[in-house]
Amino acid sequence: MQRISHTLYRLTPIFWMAPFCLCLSLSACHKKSPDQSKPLKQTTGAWDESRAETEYKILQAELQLAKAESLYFVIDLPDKLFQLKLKGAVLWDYPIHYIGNGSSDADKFFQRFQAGGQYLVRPITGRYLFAGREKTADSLLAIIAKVVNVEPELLQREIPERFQLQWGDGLMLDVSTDVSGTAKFPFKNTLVGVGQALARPFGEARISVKMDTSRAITFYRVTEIGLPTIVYPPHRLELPPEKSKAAK
Amino acid sequence: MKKVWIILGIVLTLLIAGAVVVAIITRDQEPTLKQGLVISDSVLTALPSEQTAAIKELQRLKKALATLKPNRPYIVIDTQSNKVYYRTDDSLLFEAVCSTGSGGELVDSTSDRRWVFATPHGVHKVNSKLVNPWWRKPDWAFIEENEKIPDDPRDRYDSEMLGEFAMGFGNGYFLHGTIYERLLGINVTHGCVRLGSENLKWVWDRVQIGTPVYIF
Repeated sequence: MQRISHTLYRLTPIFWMAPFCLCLSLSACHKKSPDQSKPLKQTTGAWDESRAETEYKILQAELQLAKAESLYFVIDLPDKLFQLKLKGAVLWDYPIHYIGNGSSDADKFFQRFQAGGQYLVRPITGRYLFAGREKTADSLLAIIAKVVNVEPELLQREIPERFQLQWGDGLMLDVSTDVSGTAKFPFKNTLVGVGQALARPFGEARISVKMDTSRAITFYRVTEIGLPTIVYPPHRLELPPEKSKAAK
Repeated sequence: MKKVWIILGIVLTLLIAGAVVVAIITRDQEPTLKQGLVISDSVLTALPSEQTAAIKELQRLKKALATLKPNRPYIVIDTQSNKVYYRTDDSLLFEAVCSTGSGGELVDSTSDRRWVFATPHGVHKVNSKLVNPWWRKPDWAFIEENEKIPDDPRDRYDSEMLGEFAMGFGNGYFLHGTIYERLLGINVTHGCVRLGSENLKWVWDRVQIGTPVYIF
């Protein structure tokens, strides 16, 4: 014991280095997204070439997504809407009800998402359920499951109390509902929470919203890892109305 | 004093170990887009520098995006929440609880045939409208019930199972009524979409041949 304590005593300077190492390792894990320092000019009304160029690229990207046969997710910040679209048609939408800083968070989120025009579409890279409602034994479902040859678990819906979507580079969307849930993995939740708190100084952009429980079920189940996401800038570019042929 | 250093050492070691675990759990994954959805710079064109031309180009693109959307109300089937919506691009006109495919699988051990009972995701169109439809039971309906597949085709017909109306949207899939209204809201069907009788009537009255059906 004495020998161990002596060795530890000699290693004291290394221990003082530990917090530094900790910060260093976390910063390495959360690579900073490039070109964060160049926010878009925010003018209203007047023609802004850089904003027009950004919107033009996003529209082109959405057109590409809409031509594919797959679902995609649109965060429409100017209209404060979440939309799930297929072939350009809206299949599901929900108004963004911010919790917290709202528009300033949205601004930061957009800047980080597009990283100076480097990303137009990002896939969801992570989805984390902080708390869901506890599943209950349902005899009806058990009977049905037997008849249709499916696990009863699959027939039950996970009702999320709070979940998080991630796009990498510290981009996060926190969704909370009114349902009171139970944490499935409290220890893992704590670790994820601590990790995110420690990583915060190294950069993150988070939008926190509240959502109706019944709508959140669809949202939670559809937003799988890999779902392409597109974000429109918080301030919409105003275009003059198109001249109709009849007016000529 | 030495004890304090030992405790401090252990605490810091645990902290480092914890940090490594946290870093592993919370590390960013490499983004991977589904195939066919990668947007590369090569497909993007630059906006004309002249303002009038740029505005025209932006308007053209918005129009191109708008033409992809249906120009009339359409049906959306949400298989996650078992809901049917009748909506336009910006407003929800109707919402009802339904039942969609269970996702279960049936294998016929004698013939090695296999069926997956899922509601097909994607874009479809209403291609038939039937009043008082009869269900022609396919082979799986008998296999599932451990019954002999009938030789006489007349033994396959069931006049009650599909309710009062049925709207086909391709490949033998229908939006129809049910005698099992208690199971609405649960993924229990063999791929068709079941609605309660009142809601079915509402949809039937509004849907036309060609109405788009989006399933996700």
